[in-house]
Amino acid sequence: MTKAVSRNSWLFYKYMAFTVGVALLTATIAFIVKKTINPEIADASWYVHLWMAHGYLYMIYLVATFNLSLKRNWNLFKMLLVMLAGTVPLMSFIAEARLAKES
Amino acid sequence: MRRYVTPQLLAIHFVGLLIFGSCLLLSNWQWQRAHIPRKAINPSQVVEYSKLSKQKDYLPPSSVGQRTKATGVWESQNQILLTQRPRDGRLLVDSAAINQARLGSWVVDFLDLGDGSSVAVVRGWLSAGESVTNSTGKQTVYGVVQPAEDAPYEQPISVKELLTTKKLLMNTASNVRDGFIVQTDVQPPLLPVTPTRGAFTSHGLRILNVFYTFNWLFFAFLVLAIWRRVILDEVSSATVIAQSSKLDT
Repeated sequence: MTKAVSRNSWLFYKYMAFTVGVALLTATIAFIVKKTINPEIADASWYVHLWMAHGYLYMIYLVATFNLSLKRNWNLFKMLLVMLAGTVPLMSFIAEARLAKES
Repeated sequence: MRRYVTPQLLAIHFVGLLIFGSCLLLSNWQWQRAHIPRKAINPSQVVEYSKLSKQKDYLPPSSVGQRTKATGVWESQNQILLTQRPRDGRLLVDSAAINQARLGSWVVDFLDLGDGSSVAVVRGWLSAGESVTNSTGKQTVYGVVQPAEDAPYEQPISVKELLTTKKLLMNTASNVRDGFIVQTDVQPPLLPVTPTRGAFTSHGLRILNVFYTFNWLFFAFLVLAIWRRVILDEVSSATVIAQSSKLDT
């Protein structure tokens, strides 16, 4: 039972890390395009919504990380580090890969 | 109870309270920012345009739809002719209705206000193929304030050629004020244009700031959860240490 719960927590975290990573990467690419090629995309509603979507997904990611940290009994520093990984492009993928090796 | 009030736990309580309180304050700050003061004060009263649209600033939403007047000298060399436009500006936000409408041109001239600034005036509507000379001399114009057509509003304008702030700036040498006047006291052969935007009757909410408000509230609750967990961890490890020291003695 405990193992199943822990596995569910891991899958929840894993999917959220992937989703947040993809959303952040897309938003970052859009940001680079805005700054270099086409500044007018900043006026497009999808550009704002993309960042908002990342914000909402990141909140769910935080819940998933907190939940996993409880199940795996992480220390506070590790939990905060994994939480912050969702705000740096590509870092959530790296964090997820490292945690997968640990388990 | 004493195990919850050790110096270390008091320090954790202090930090937890500080972060939790900061999140609540930031949430409240975003909620204040979310409110747009856009309701017109008195749209039926005629107010000088220079009081409604300040120099080197964007037109405030509370000025939209306000009756206004402006006195100045026409800049006879600058004119914008906006083609493919209906007489009724309200159709510009209705892409289905605009296809049925008779299209012509909006004639936009600039009025030099004599203080180094100018204002764009939609003097009226002309049917396709007709032409009109630029206005000259000094005049007092009466009309309704409209925002630049690229300003963010609920309903975007569907025609291709928009009267944007950038377009206004590019078509006059003087320091043009944001927004424009749709003239109501129109001179023939022009016909009066019905303004696209009416005055706001209520204040608005900026969606992005409402979102940030919820963001900070969420962070506040997350801080509470982490705070609780840290306290429980501290207490349980303190209990283990106390029990092991008891066993040692």
